[in-house]
Amino acid sequence: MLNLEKVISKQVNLPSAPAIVHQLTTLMSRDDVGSHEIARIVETDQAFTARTLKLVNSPFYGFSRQITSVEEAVTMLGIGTIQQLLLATSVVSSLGTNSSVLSMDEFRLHSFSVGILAKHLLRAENSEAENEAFMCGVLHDIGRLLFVKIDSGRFARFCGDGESIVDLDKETQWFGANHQQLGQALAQKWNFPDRFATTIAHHHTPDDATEAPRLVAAIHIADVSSHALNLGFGGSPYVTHFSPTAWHKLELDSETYEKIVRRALSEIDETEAMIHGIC
Amino acid sequence: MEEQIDRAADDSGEAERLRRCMSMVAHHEEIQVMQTVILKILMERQQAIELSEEGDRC
Repeated sequence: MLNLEKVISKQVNLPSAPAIVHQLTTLMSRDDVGSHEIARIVETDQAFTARTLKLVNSPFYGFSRQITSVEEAVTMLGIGTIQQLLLATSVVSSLGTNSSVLSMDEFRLHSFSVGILAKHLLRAENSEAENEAFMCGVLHDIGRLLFVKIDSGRFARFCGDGESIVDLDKETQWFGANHQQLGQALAQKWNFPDRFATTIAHHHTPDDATEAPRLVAAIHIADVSSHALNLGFGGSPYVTHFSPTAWHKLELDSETYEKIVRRALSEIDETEAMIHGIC
Repeated sequence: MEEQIDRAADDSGEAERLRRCMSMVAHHEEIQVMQTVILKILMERQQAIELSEEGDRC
């Protein structure tokens, strides 16, 4: 059986995409990022450069002339949009792998949706909180991707053993660690901010988080909402954990929640359309 | 209006999917609020898709 240390030490030899992820994370924590800085990062990845240019020249945007420079593409699409797309596609492509039980397209949609829902849940705060929320939403289930990456056969058997319910104890029995712990360890290995690691570590158990309580609450509620809205698939069709405390921490009520979900869904639809243009 | 949404949700199978999805946490009052909101939005979206498909056919 795998254990946490073995799993993480094996991660050392994984692809270089996390370097891009780390650069982006650093940039996204700043308010004064210029399009040239984002363009330099995009240009380090040939595949993403091609995708960005394909996206900006796609009928979705309908620009009247062809855009050939990455920096111009970043300006046209918006720095935030490019950062978000780059982060999410980099994480999923660096860790993603074919699995009979976890479609990477569905996983990416789930991750994006949680990021966007969480961003809208914290919209009343500031742009830094929104960025953090989006990034943590995208990253919250990376531990589950590690299960697949490291032993896809075992993961398939795990999911086949009854229904694919999120059961943190059962994950520990099968893999030596649950997906929250694995995700946290990977976030630390990749030098993400502590708040990210904490959020990943407690997205199903927000009441246990000792740090970033509103961020953790936002990811928790966004994850539950994404399941309920049937947006993609993160590895389980069921909601197994819910914290009323998280709901109240975000001062939610029926009316506020409805507004947030409507705004988020509209952004999720738009993002999906963009992703279909580049993937 | 609420009855209409409930009927449409039952017909589409979406209400059943949502009930199953949330069955383990359904005892929370807040989950019931979420479910009501989400079902309403999902049904509106479905209706919009159907109307658009109908428009395409005409």
